[in-house]
Amino acid sequence: MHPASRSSSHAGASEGPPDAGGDESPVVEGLDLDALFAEIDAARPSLDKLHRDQQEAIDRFVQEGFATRREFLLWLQELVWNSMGRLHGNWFAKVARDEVVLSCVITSEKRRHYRQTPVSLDAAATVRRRMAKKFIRPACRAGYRTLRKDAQEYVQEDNRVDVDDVSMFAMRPSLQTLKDRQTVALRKLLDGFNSEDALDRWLHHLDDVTLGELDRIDADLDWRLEMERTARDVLLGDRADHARQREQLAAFYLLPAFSLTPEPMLVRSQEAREESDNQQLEATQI
Amino acid sequence: MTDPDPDKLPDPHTNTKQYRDDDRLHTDAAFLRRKFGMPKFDPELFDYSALAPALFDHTWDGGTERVSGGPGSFVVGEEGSGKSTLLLRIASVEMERNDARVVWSAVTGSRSEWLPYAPITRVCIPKGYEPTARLVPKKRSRGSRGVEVRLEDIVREVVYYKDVMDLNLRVLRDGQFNVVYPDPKMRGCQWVYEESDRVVADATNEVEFSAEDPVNHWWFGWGLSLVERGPFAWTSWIQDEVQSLAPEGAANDKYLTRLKIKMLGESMEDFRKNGIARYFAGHKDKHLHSLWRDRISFRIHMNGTANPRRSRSSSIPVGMETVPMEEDLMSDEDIGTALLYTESSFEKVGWPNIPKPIQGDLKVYLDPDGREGETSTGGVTA
Repeated sequence: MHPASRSSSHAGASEGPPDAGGDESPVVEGLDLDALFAEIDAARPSLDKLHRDQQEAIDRFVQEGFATRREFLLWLQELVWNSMGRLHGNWFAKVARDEVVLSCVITSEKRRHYRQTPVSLDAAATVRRRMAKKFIRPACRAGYRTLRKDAQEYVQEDNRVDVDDVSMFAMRPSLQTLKDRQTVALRKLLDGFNSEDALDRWLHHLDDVTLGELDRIDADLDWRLEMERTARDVLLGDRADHARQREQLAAFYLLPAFSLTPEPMLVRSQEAREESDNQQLEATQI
Repeated sequence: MTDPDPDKLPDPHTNTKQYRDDDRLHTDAAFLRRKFGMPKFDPELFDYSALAPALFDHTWDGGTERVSGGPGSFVVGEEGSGKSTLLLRIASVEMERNDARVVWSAVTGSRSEWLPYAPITRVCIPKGYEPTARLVPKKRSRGSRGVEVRLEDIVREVVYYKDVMDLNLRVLRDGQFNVVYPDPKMRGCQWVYEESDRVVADATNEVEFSAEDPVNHWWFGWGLSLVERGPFAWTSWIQDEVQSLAPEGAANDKYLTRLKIKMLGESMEDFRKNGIARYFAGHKDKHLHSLWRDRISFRIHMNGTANPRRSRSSSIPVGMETVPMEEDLMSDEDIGTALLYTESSFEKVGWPNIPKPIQGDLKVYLDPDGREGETSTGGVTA
């Protein structure tokens, strides 16, 4: 300890209840519950992993917000998974296109695109916190319940899993794969397409990344895009308003379709126990 | 590509306790430690006394915890995983801890992995043969046949043995590094076999050694001589590429290879009791012959490939009931690490690098010197 910090802790002690030096041993508060819980090995680590992912997603939403709608859409796709598809597709379609909501979740200067005189950032933070309480937390809880019945136990002491070692969503490679592919498909749409061939290829892949559930959102999407006079321009064009239109399309078609995928994919998905990184033994020199 | 310069090789080192028989001098092992910056082997560092300390620090009376006598071990690793370096390091530990006579099994015409230890090496050559040594560049080329060197100039000693017993009883020295080239004439092997009480035979054949046999069959005779006739002192037999000595699919060909493998397999327990530590090395678990592996309890799995683990029963080496490892610990490991394990425990071990003195390989060939007439095979002179 260097002298400066000692004198400051002295000053603190004389003024009233010591704040334990602040910089060296932080006061144990509610947030430390995470750390305290993490010290206890998870017997059902897939649930813990989901729970942790949910916490991170909610923190991001409430505390930071997003720089662009594109970022928000990508976060919503994560939320599809964190809620295990228990948020209705219409909710995604609504929040990602609602200008009032957008002006609150987007915290950069871009928020003025959606509302000429947006509320203050503090008020926007309150809106986000309330959205979390009203929609996102209940959805996460529902998602937790969905995974609950499938979470495997690792009982043996040397078989326990440290959640830090888990890289895959809910420890399931199949879910992680689908989730990653959806992210790619979503990005591709937001970026736009170079040619009609690329668009057609993407549409075909859409069946795969939505597990065919696209059918329930719009069975005629291919044909509709073909017939719609402006759709071609929007998907192939590179103007700023085209990009915005593509974001609308993503919110309207993709996210609702994605939200139908976690539950069927969860059925029969297998947990994979990953190698621990910090269990690397030190080699003893012969 | 230029040939390696023989002058770059270090001079032989003779000023040691072992060579001069003078207790005031340092030992060969100490010389090696200093030359390569290797630490002293410290059994206290290891978590399990039943692993590295039991393998490298021999005792005649181990009770229930330790191996009594000379343990057997099998090193598994791909090319380039540092097997030779590990074997060299083991040799120096054996010399230092146990004052063991290290026997490095050498093959004529192949790369001499023992080259880093050349300054204290005793090269043992069958009598009646003259060694030719050639340094070849690391990058081979058509234009170069390498440069010939006098073996005596780069190793401490070149010594000659008359037969297997002569080698064991007279030539090999305690606490020294002995590189042994087998005798193509198999002198003494048949005599030792016939004098022993062993009968290794099948319906039609009985073990026989003759000058027609593949030269590496000499090792079977040498091993038998060691357990039958001694000396009964710490000996470390280092045998790389054990699969070429005892190939997995060895049949009873006209050289009776399988019978000889069986004979040595039956002697494995005697090896242990007589203080002969065996360090066999191969590329795959299956390279340890099925007639030998039951008696080899220590395994060393080198870095670079996945180690046997309980979660994949097909990975457990035949001959072992189970392995203590749950997970793959070795695939991603760097060179210079290995997993030492038995059926009950495992520990990750490392060892220092032992660099080669030159960019190139030393090849040693044996040619009949023509001075001696035909030696009768099976004759013994000890």
